[in-house]
Amino acid sequence: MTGEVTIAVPDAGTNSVTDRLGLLFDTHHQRLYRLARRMSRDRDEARDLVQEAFLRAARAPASIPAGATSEEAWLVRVLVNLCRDRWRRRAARNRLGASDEGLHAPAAVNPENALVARSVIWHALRALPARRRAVVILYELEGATIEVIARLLGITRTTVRWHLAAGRRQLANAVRNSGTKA
Amino acid sequence: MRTLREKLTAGDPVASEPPADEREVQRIRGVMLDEATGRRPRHRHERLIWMATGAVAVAVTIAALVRQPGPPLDGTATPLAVWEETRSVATRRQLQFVTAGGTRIIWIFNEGLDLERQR
Repeated sequence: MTGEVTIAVPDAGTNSVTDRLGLLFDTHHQRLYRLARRMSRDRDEARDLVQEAFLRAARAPASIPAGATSEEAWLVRVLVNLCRDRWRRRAARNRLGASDEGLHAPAAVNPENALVARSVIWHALRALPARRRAVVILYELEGATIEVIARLLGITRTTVRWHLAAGRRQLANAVRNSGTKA
Repeated sequence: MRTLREKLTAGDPVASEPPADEREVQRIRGVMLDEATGRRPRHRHERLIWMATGAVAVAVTIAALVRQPGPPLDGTATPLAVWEETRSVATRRQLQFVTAGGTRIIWIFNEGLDLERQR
């Protein structure tokens, strides 16, 4: 008895791409979500940012460099660029007169109130330009070194230091102003 | 006096909120993989369709250019070298001529014009 046996051979190219993307997601999504959450105003925005970053990876898998640290840096840069796009759109809307709470730190009614102080500094943080915000978050909250931040964001160490100093100054001013308004 | 780091840490949403929901994480993963697998064949088809459309457009343009009569190239043309009178039941009567420089002039007559009667 003779018969024809058909074996479905999956597209090797597609499989390798999806395998790589799956691994990329599994390796980096938690770390990327943490950064996105600190960069954004709420959980929904953070999820959107993470999804968009991985969609960009899916659309151009060949542009992702090999190696875990390079992949991480690529994803972080994409995320920061996405944040920057959103920040610019908000800033443009704000210039046109639309209100946007994310760009204005609320006046602290009572500077002794820790909750209000936290709110002030986080609002001020979210009003920083995306790259500066990322530098402050990576350094102050994630404990990354200047060198690591420079590698992640693809900028020089001098630029990282400059953003860090400017960011700290802006946050300090925001806290000081909220104290004087109270 | 609390440092900037302490103030930021105190309000850190990552520390105060639960981690991302696992179902949501898997949904995002699925969306990403769908984008990678589902889009590429469509892109391939789109490219083929665009290439075929372009080829047809080029062929039609070439055919139209070949069929279009131009001015004579042997230098014998005069300003009113080529006269054409087109009489067609389906189309309005028109008179066309091409100058030596290649300019095509088309006169379209009124439907009521009858040259035989006016002669």
